[in-house]
Amino acid sequence: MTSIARFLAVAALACSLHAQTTLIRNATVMTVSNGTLEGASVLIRDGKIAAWGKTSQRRRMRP
Amino acid sequence: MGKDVTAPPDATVIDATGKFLTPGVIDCHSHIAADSINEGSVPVSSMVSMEDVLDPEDISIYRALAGGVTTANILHGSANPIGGKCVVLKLRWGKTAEQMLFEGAKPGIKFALGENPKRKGKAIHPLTRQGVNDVIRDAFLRAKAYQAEWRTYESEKTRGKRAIPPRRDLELEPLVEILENKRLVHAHCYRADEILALIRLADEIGFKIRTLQHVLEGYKVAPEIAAHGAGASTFSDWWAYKVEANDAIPYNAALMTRAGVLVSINSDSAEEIRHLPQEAAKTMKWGGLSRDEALALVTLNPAKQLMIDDRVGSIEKGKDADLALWDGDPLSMYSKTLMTFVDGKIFFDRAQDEQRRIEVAQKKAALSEKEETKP
Repeated sequence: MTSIARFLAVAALACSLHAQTTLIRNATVMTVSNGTLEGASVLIRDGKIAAWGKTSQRRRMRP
Repeated sequence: MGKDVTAPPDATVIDATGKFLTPGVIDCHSHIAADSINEGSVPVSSMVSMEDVLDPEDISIYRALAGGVTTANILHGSANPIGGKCVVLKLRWGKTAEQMLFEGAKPGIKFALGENPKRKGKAIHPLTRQGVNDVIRDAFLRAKAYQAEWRTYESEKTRGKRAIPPRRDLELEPLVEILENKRLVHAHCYRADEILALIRLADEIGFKIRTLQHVLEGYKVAPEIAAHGAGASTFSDWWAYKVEANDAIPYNAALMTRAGVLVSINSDSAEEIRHLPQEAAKTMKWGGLSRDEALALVTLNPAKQLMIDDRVGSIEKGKDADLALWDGDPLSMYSKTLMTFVDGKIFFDRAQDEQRRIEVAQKKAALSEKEETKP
């Protein structure tokens, strides 16, 4: 597990009571400020963009 | 950009394979959700505010969401040289007007030059473009005197003197806020001469124009606009709908961009607001802007003009999850919005909308049948 993935997993557990977490998976993401990335995902947590980057081949983290 | 992104165990996953994701579209000039637009009874109507007359049930809000729009600057009309106060909204459809306010957005105000403010001339001052200039200059001279009265009062109070506060002047208060960089000026304008006149006046008085709105002849005076530091919020290719719009060219946005002006494309229309990325895409044909530059005209650039770019306007970690998901390239006229998110919540979902249309049609048919079989 990468450190970012581990951080996200811990963060997800920490705020799972209130968090609303959504992953928009495998899109062509046009960021406007940092170009366009194909096969990219955006993670939304608590109304904010928590992370974005290449879509992982694994569909889900282990709980 | 982070490393590979995987869904946490508790995440709802939306498969967007083959789809495009962009920041939510931002419209720097809109009148949706407004019950009335023009307080045209006085030349300076800075005492009125759009916030007082918001209609959260205006269907145009939902239709704008269906075009990927998440934020709109709701402006007063253009009947007055100095118009009413504006308000920036997040399109949280279904919420109250108060819940739609963009928290912490810097307040704005509408100014207007040219044909619109002078057409009321027979009833109230002004009648001409020079008259418009005079109304603005005179209002700021009065605002400066008012500002000085308050400063004297505050300083006397600090020195322990028994001072009487000046009576609050609701017309001049917003102008003092402009002088103190607390309120953004959005100035409706068309012709190069009136744009230069307003820039000269602003420099003389000592205030900044945040955006020139419409600004169809902006391409003629783009270096002067850039030097003042004003942004420009224009149409893609509206032309000749009035005499002062005769010299409009579709290269305007691109030419001003190349001259160093911060440019956005706005709608000023409940119809046009539904396809702003297409409007922005026209600048790729007329003026050769890049894809990112074109999309920025309806996302990051208006966010900067409204000074909310720390929150919205691009897809970056830590920004609000105000996003639009498209079934194809958002710069193509064939693409449709599939989902629109505000603060990470879905406020438009095309699949759900299409399902509801079927349900509504069924209910309507059932009611009609009942009516027909009534004894």
